[in-house]
Amino acid sequence: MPYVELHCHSNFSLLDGASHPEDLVARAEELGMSALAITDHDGLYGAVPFYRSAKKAGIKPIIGAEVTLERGHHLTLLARDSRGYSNLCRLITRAQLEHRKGNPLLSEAALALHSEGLVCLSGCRRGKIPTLLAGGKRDEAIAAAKNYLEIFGDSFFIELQNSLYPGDGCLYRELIELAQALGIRCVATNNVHYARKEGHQLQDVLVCIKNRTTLDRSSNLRRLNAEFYLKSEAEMQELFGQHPEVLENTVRIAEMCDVSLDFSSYRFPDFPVPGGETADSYLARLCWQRARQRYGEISTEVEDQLRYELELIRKLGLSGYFLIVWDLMEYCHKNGIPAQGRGSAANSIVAYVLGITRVDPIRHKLFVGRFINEEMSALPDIDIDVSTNHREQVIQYVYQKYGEEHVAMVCTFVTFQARNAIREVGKVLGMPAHILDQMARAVGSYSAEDIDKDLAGLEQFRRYMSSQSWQHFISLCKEIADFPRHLSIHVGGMVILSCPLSEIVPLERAAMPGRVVCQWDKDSVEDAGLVKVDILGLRMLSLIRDAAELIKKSLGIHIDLDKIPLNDEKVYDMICRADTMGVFQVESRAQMQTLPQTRPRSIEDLTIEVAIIRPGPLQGNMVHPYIRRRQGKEKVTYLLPRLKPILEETLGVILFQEQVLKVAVAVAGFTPGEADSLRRAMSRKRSRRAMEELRERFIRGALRNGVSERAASEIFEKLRGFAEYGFCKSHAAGFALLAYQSAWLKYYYPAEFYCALLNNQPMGFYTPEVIIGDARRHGVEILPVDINQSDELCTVEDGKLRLGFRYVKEMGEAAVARLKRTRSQAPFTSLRDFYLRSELSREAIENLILAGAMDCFGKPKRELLWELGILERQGRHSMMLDLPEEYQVPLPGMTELEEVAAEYKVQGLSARLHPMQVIRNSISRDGVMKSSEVVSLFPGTRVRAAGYVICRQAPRTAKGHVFLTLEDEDGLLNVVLKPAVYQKYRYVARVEPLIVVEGVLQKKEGIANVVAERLIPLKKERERQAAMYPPRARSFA
Amino acid sequence: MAKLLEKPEEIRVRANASGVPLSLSRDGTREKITAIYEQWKVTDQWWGKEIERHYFRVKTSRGFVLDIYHDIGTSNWYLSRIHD
Repeated sequence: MPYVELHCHSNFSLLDGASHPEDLVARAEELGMSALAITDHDGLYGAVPFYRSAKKAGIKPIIGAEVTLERGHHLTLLARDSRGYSNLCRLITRAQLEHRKGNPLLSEAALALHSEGLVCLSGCRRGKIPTLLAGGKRDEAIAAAKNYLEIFGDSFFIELQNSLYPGDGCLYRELIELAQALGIRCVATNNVHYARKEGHQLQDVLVCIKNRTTLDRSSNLRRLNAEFYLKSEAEMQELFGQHPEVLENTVRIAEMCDVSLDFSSYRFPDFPVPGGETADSYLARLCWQRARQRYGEISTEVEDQLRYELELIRKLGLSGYFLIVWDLMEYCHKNGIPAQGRGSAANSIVAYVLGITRVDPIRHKLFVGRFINEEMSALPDIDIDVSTNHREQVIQYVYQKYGEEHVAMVCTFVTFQARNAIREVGKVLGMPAHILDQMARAVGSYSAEDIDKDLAGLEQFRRYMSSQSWQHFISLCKEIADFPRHLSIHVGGMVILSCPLSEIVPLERAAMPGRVVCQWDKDSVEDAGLVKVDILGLRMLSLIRDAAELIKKSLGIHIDLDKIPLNDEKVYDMICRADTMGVFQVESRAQMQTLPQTRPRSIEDLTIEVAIIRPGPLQGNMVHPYIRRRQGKEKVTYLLPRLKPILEETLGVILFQEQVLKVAVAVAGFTPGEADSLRRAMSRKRSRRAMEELRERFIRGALRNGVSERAASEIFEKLRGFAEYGFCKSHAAGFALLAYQSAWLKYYYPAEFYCALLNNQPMGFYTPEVIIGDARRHGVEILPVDINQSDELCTVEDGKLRLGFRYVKEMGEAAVARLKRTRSQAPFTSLRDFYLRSELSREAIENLILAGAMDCFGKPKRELLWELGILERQGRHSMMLDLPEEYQVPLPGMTELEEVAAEYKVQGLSARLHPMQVIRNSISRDGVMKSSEVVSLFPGTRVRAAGYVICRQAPRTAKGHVFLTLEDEDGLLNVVLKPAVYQKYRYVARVEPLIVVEGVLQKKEGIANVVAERLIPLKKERERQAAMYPPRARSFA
Repeated sequence: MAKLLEKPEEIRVRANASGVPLSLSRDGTREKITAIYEQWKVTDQWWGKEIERHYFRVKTSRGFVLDIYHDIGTSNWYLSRIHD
């Protein structure tokens, strides 16, 4: 008797279902099921990946959901057709939006209004009818059943389950009897929560995570047995054999259902154009107008390109899309919001003249085929980078312009990965918290899949590994890898539709008040053919704007960064020195290592720099030939003369995706669309056969073009080797511009630059205390937070950088606001004055003292703390007396170390000193040197150095090598750990914040690295030196 | 009223090929099972000492209603509750 499962939860029933939709499909396929339904709780989160994998496996996907009704009862709904699907989306949306977030409830009234095209099953044990029957309320159960009959007619079925729970047998008989009495058909389901029986273990774990408890303490919350897996026909037969029709009906229902999840015909809203115009004509008119503004004289090249693109856009029906994006950018420009289009869109001259992107495709020799072409099957993607501080404003504009019904944010799923899997699974298993914490911090891989190999290498956990519970722990962590844990809003994706969104995808509340998000993530949205615009916040844009404002405020100069000359030698000198902390895209450790070799001296060079220093090209072995040629160590050659115009900017090496397309066109005569398909196919690691086919097509085309087979073959291999990692040039060009602008600011206006950099954290590669160190080294004086001068954010005062209150613990927004309000009446004159007027908490005041905020009153910190204690005892409202003589006690001052330690404790950084400066004395024996001393030595010298670890990197391409960056009072030091050394000192390398390194100094191409042989935690070195050497004289304040 | 045995008592059960109990013997007396009212499964403690049991609520030829279970791990049968 064939069987189809109609009630099945995937892991998108968050913290309840224990299998990926794809695994459920795979199991269904093994069982020979012809169809499968996924019915997650109150949502269609996994509908698209389920639909796609089912279709691929030749299984009919049935889209449904288990909804929660107003009194908490469950009901199973399945969509029969597109009308039913729309209704399902509407019902879920109503349930979600009409109630608190995370607590969707559907009213039966709503059910009645949107029942068309839906099949309704009466639900699991928590369904209304079974609950009433189990409570002995037969009459009410009958009434409920009649109500459903009225709403759904003969699309209503009584759902029968036998999960081998006590009482199931009895309930089964009563349901059958009720169904017979009312003439309702019955159908069997298994309330599936996992694909295979063993999945019950993970399901138990998920229930515990959801309820924040452990396995041992949760017997009343977990399922009683392991029966909730996808059962075979035979197994269902055993349970329901006496009533074969209940199994037959599963197939009958499956046959009734037919829903497609391809929405590509639902276009974006029609853009409102002026009377008498169409979207095409309006777009064209705008473009020609703007082109004159952008280019001045319109050359033939510009004209040809523009004409070509406008025609292409018209053919593809995309004029409306461009106008929507143009309108958005106009809004940004008019409101002074820094914004620029990113990604492949910058290949388009239409995008450039309309001001959507800032990169001139003619000047940068870009290729529009990378962005749009005749053969494209998916819609182009236009992403906009917007100043982070203004992103919300832009989003509101879109909602307001197109209407709330037609716009929603795309969601994203926070998933279980190595760190959180360790913590949460371990906790559920009752493992000790401190061990879990150590493991979570020590694990190197991001994905939970490699957890066993990763942790096995670590000594401290070795002794746990033989126990049985360890096996469980590891296998559960691996199983939970990539499971969605909870929903969050995607950084910027917005879906805009012509029809009300809730007909296509259910909407729900986001954590942010007033915000609505759709239940699909960006992959699902794309796969379903919907139009999406990504509005991404880019902090660098905020930084640039903030710096410009600071410059205006402090110096009265108005800077338009879009007009600065792009060829300032001094700026490039700074970049080539790798003095690039804070500079967009070129500040990472890897970048700093290559800049002295690649030596970019123009925007074009910067474009290449941004594109090549990424894991991809470094692995594809492409950077090295480029760098070698750049340094003149290798001759610049071209495989074919016709490749010269395409590759000469990159010295004959293929670096950009656009170049791949151009090469395919020039060599094999491909159309731009074919070339882009080639690029995409190559970048997705297709099967051998698919590659062979592509290769043949390429070679045939090349032969037709008069290219020899040998040359064509060689070129194809080069393309293939590259294609996986190639960067999009237009994207890199946009970023290169920002890199230059930020470098220019750093060079000419460092105080304002660092101030803006600090105020826009978190961003970039480095933390605030490291940034402050860099600022100091660039001659910017850092002023400590001051009770009378500081603001919440950092400010520039007389060319110096004044720290803001934001770093001080306990000084939140409310506290700062109160302080400023009080201060505006009169500045603070003493601690007592501050204490009485500001009414801040004791912790806040203490922290301010320790951070140096009250140094302006001229008293040492200890004395102020003492005074604070007295004030607290006197209370704010007692008669205020001066501090009596006998209370004034001479206190020893704080040592430098104590002061810096206190500053770090209360604000995470020090205005005056680097921790290494303070510790230096205690480790300066035995040849431990400063970073500035190290780099001045001859290569090959053995050195000992120490510092604060500010960066740890283990790139996949580096074959087990690990890179550390240490910082001390003089600057940065690069450390390389070879695989064997890393293995030996892994724990120290991973976890210790301050370390001493012993090794050999290596110098290549102007870059210094210490190749480490030993790593020692700094505290151990201090102890060792203190024990071995007589103590040095300490400085007392 | 039902009496839950503090420690389940091991009993001998004869079952058919599908694991359905047909007769049992306790205190040396053999009783036939005349009806099976309910059956349910319990799986628990898989992270420690695993418990997997198949329970049956049966009526015997001596007129008792008993809860018995088959311990899948050890293959033994136990009496866990006697109903009045």
